[in-house]
Amino acid sequence: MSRQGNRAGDPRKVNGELFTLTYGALVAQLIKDYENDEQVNKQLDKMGYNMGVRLIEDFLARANTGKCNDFRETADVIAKVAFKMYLGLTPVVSNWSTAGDEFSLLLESNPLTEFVELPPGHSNLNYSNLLCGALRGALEMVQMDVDVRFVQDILKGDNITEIRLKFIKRLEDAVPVGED
Amino acid sequence: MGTDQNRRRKVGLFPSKAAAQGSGNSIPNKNCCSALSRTKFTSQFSDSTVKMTIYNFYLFDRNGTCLYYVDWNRKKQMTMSKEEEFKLMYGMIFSIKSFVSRLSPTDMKDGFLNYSTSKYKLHFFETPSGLKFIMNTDLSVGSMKDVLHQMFSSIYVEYVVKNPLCSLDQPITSELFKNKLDEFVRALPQFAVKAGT
Repeated sequence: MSRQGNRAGDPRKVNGELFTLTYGALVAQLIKDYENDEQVNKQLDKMGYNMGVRLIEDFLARANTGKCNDFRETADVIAKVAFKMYLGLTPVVSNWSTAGDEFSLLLESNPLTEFVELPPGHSNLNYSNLLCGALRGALEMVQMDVDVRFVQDILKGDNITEIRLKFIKRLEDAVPVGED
Repeated sequence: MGTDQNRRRKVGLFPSKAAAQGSGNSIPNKNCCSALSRTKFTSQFSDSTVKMTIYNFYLFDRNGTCLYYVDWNRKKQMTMSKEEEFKLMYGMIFSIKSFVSRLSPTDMKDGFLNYSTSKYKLHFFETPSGLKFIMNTDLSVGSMKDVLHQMFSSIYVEYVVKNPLCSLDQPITSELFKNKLDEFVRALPQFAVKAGT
């Protein structure tokens, strides 16, 4: 633990392998419980969402960044600050749509799938779907409704893992009762 | 009737006595001093007369729910219910925010930070996730932006967000959070209540 003490003296840091194996056990259990890959994807997304909703506060507290001015800035912060902070890697931001409301995060490696090989018959499973949910939950808390999904996955034989984010709409602050 | 009056006089006696003493000690011609020059006076002269104080603290979530309220040196009795006060406070902050941003000649970075009256100063800090931290202090207190940010990052995040038993859209009931927040605020230099007396 001390060997990777780059976050100066945080005793709550856990071993990366333990994390990967825990996640693996979680997905395996879900597959047992639900049998249907689509259902498992949905559950992973839901769990990720609940994590994202809390994770964003921790992120804002630690990163101390202000509000982003546009979606491009958001993309940069996600890739360079958030992924770096929580997964220790920096995905490449690319494949922008012409309208600037959609982009992809390209991951060459994925710590969640370090020891994983998908058995045959699970072609619909998005093993790391928790990440999508976490991104969606976190962005929703900063007033952005975003659609997040896996497009390519190294686990399924693609060359790269690609997560696609599509901006849907801005969510507004609640207006107090009796005001317009 | 008579007893009622008596009681009222007794209640009234305490603060007025204290006020008379206070004016005798510091500024003889208090009545002709404007609020502004009085603040200047206290900040320029002896520290023992400065009474920096934190009065109360509100935490609202993005939906306008008051997640937490606490007061420390708020002596005056409230005439309305807490719920009513929270609603008013949230409504006012909401309006000030939109007013300030609409009136701003350029794009603002920080937006609305604080306002002061002749009696108190209200400090405001909002996270990008829409949590609103509001603190009322006495006039001699400077910027509380960093303090409020610290309350967010080292108390709210640590003891509420990371506590899976605390739901994020309900008023906070965690004792741990209460204690930590109280401890934090009491240790602040701005809290230095009644330093001179």
